Amino acid sequence: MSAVGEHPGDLLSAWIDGEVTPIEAAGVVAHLADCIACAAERDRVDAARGALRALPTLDAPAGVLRAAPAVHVGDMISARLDDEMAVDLLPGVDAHLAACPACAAEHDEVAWARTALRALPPLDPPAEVLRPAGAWPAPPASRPVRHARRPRTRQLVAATAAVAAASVGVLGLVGRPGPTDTTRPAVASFVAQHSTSSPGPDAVSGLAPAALPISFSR
Amino acid sequence: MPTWEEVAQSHGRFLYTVAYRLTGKDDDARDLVQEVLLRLHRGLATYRPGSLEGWLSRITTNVFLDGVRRRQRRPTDLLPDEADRAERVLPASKAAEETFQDATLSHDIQRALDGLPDEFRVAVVLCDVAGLPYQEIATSLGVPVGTVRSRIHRGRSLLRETLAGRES
Repeated sequence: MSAVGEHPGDLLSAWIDGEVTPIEAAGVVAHLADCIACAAERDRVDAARGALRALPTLDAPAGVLRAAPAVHVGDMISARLDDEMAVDLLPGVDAHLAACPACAAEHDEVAWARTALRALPPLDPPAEVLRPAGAWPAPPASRPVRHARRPRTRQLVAATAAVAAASVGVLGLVGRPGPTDTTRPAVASFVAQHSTSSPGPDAVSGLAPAALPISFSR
Repeated sequence: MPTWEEVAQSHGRFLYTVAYRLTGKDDDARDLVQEVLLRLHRGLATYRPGSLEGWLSRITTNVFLDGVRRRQRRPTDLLPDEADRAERVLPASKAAEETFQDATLSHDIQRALDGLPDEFRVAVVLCDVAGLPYQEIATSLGVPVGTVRSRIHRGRSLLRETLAGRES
């Protein structure tokens, strides 16, 4: 503020609080001497300031001072239990847990659940679940994968049984010994080769195409 | 790089355990494991050395969540009476039942797990059963680490609430 004609505005409160430079203070004083509006503004601000500063201090209720800080540690409890917390946060969380009964109780509850979960025994899979690789169809990359709507175990068992039965029948016709491992070749490739008639003789049996297509569908 | 057979043999127990903890039913766990093994069979070549269990857990989780989403789209896929019948006719596997026979707490914990919302159950199982770190769970689920932390904590808290009264 360099001219008397400019109103001090926000500078007025700063001047009242003694938070202006000497040059600014001189400008405000000079302006107030000539500007009735700013002098009245100064009186209002000064009165409000005085009223605010005259407000009494309040005694805190005893319970508030005994209570822990309002911000609880929440899910940091689990992170701390799992050793997944930033090291710089650790002292604060530990201090809170030491001071806050609610969070300390929550810590104990969650720790119990964590321990119980981790103590659950591992389960042995039923033997048929882990099939040898040869038993799995290997769909070509270009073919979209279809998700089974019924439990896959029953589908595969049924498919394998159908293929095995069919292979016994076909091979029995030509007097060849049947394969000891009915899961090889892969179900998908076997079905692809034998489920429908083809223009030429069958690759395994050497038979001419059947009059009717053989279907393995259920 | 491990072969399919090696993975199935060395991690079959891990896979089935995670699958059972996620689904709560032997039949569903079998389907889940076999779907995972199918995907594994097709995608083993894409595996890059790292945490194999993390990779398997990620596949298992994705298959499980795919199933959850399918069920949500087809709410009548399994009617209540069918569900009851499935429970009667297709009990938990012998191995699972034997394990649980003298472990009422394990059984109760599994039931409590089943009652958790899917997103909480997945986070808790991946953390406490599969033993994955938060970051890996976050990557598997495609959510921030903070979300994983929150889901694990809320899942455990809900579990404890469900099992209130148990010995601490």
